Amino acid sequence: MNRESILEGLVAVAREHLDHEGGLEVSSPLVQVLELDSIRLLTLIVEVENHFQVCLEEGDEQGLETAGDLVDLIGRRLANAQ
Amino acid sequence: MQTLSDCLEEARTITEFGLRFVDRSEDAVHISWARIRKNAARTAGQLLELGCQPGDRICLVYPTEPAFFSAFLGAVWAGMVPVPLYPPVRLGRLDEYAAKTSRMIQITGARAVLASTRVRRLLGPAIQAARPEFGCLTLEDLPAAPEAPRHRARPEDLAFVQFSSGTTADPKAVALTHGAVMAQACILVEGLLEAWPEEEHGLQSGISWLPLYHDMGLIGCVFPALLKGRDLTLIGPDVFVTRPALWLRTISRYKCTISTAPNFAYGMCVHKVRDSDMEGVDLSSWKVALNGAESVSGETLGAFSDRFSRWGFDRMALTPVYGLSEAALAVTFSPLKEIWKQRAHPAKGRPIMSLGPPLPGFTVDIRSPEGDSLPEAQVGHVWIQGPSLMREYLQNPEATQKVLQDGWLDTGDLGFLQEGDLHVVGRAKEVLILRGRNTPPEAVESAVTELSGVRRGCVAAVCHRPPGAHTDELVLLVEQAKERSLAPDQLARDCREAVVAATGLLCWKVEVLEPGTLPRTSSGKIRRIEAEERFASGSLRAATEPGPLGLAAALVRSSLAMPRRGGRPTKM
Repeated sequence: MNRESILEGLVAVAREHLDHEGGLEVSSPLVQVLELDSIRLLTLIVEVENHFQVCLEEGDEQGLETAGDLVDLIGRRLANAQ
Repeated sequence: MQTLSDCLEEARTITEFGLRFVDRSEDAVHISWARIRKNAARTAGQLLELGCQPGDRICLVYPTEPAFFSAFLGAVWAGMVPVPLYPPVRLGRLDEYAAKTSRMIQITGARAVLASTRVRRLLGPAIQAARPEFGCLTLEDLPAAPEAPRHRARPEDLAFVQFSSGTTADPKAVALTHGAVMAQACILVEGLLEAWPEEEHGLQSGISWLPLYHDMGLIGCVFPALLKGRDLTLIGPDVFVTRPALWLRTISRYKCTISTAPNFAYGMCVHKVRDSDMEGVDLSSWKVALNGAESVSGETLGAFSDRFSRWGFDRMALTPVYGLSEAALAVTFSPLKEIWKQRAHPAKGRPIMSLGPPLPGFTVDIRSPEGDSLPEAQVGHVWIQGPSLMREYLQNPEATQKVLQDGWLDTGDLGFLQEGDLHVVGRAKEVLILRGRNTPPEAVESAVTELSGVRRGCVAAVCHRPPGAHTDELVLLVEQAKERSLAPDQLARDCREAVVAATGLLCWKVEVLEPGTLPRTSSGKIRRIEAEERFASGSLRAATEPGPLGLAAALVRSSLAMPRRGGRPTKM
C-alpha cells in the first residue's frame, strides 16, 4: 500500500469515527487538526488498527506529530506484517 | 472481616465465582476467587523472596488483566502496600508520563515496581529517575518461592495507596487503611443487598470497565465483589472508550446487576451506540446503574433512559452518587429503586442533581469559608466525616493538614443540603476571588465560550498574581477554534468585551492559545489551577496567526451560516 492510499484510509477513518469533515495533508499536525483529546486519540488508534489490520503499540508515538508520521508508521507496520 | 487479606482468606473456597475478563472480541476468561487467592499467596512468597518486607510500598503498572490482581493482592497478602499507577496511554506523550510516574514512585518510596510485560519497556526513564531499590519487574522476573502464609495486618495498617487528582509537580497520594477500605466495601455491599436482597432477586453480579488505578474501579467494584464472593466482569477502559456498546452487550450476556460509571460514559452510549450493536441485548437485569466521579447531568440521565428503555433498561436503575478518593470512595447515594431528582440552586434557580443522603456512618456538613456550619439550602464548603476517610496524603503533611481537620475532611467542593440530600454545585478552590468579590469561573467562561473564534468549552478563567502586584487579577485562557478565523488580538478584544459585559469584571489579560493546550482532568474538565500555574511559568502555547485559507473558510462558513458541529464525547 503506498503513502497516498494510506493517507486516504486515514482520512476515511477520521471522517467516520471522529466526524472530521476536512481532509488531511501529510503535514497536518494530528493533535490539532483532529482535536485529539485522550478519547479521540484512543478512537483513532483503534480504528486505524481495525482499518489497516495493523497493531500500533505503546511507545510508537516517538516523533509522531503529523499525519505523514502516522502514515509512515502504518506503512512500516504493514511492511512488517507481510 | 477487618482487612482485605481477611477477605481474600475467606475467598479460599469460592470456586464458582470470581473475575471475568472480557476482551475486545468479547472472548472471556473466568478466574475463581479461590484461584486468585492462590495466585496472590504465590506472588506474596516471591516478593518476600525478592527481599521486600511487610509495610514496603510496591508500585503496580498494569492494564486491566489477571496479573494486576496477582500483584495487588499478592502485596496485600504479604502485608505490603500496593500503589496502582496508571499505565501509559497508547501514542500518548511518553516524556510527560515518565516525569509524572517517577514523581509518584518517589513520593511513595516504593522499593519495587511491578509491571505488565507490555508496559515495562516503556517505564525505563521513570525507573531511572526514581531508582526504586529492586527496580522494575514483571511477575515472571520474580524469584521462585513457595506460597507465603498470610500476613496478619491490623485495621490501622495501610491497605493501599492511590493517587487522586493533582498536578504533575504535586500529585497527591491518598493513604487508606484496611479499616477504611473495609468499612467502605461493607457499606456498599450492605446498601445494595438491602435494596435488592439476593433471596428474592438472585445473586448480585457486577461489571466494570473503569480503570483499576481509579477508586471507583478498584474500591467501588472489585472490593465489594471480593467481600461478597460474587462475580465481577471486567472490560478494559480502552475497549469501552472505543466500543461503548460492548459494556451494554456484556451486561446483557452475563446478566449483570450492577455497574458504575461517570456521567460522560452514559452520554457516550447515547451518542455512539448504534441500534445494530444492540441486537438481542436485554438490559433488564441491570438493577443499579451508579453515576458518579464527575457532575451528574439530568439531561444525560434522561437521554440514556429514553434511548435504552426499549432494550429493557429501567430508568429507576440510574443512581447519582457522590464520593472522592480521600473518603475511600462513596459518601452519599441517592435512594436505590427511586427516580433521580433535581432541586433548584438556592441562589440561581438552575436545576442541581440531588446526590442523596449520606451513607450510614457518614455526616455531611456545609460550612462557610470561616468554618461555621450553614443552615439548609445555603451553598457552602462540603465537609464530611465518616468511617472510611484517608489517613493522610503520603509525604505531604501540609496538604493533609489543609483538608483533614478534627476528623473532618474538606472535600474542596461547594454544595448545599436540602431535605437531607447533598447537592454539589462546583469546586471551591477554583472560585475567582477578585478584590473581595467571589465569582465562579464558569460565569466568566460562559460569557465567551460561544464567541466566534473560540474553541467551544475550552476556556479557563483563573486568578493570577502578576509579578510584583499586591492583588490577584483575572486572566482568561482561551483556546482558539481550529479554523483560526480571527487574529488572536481581535479574539482577545472580543473576549474582554464579552466578559466585562456579562460579569463586570475586567480581564487583566486574555491569552489566546492553540487548540488542545489547556490541561484537563481524566474526566475532561479543564484543570484551572494547573492552567494558571502553566500560564504563570510561561509554558502555555500561544496561538498562531490565521492563514489566508482559514480566513477564507471562515468567510464561507459565516455566509452559509452553517450550524456548529456538537455532541463530541467528553475527554476521559
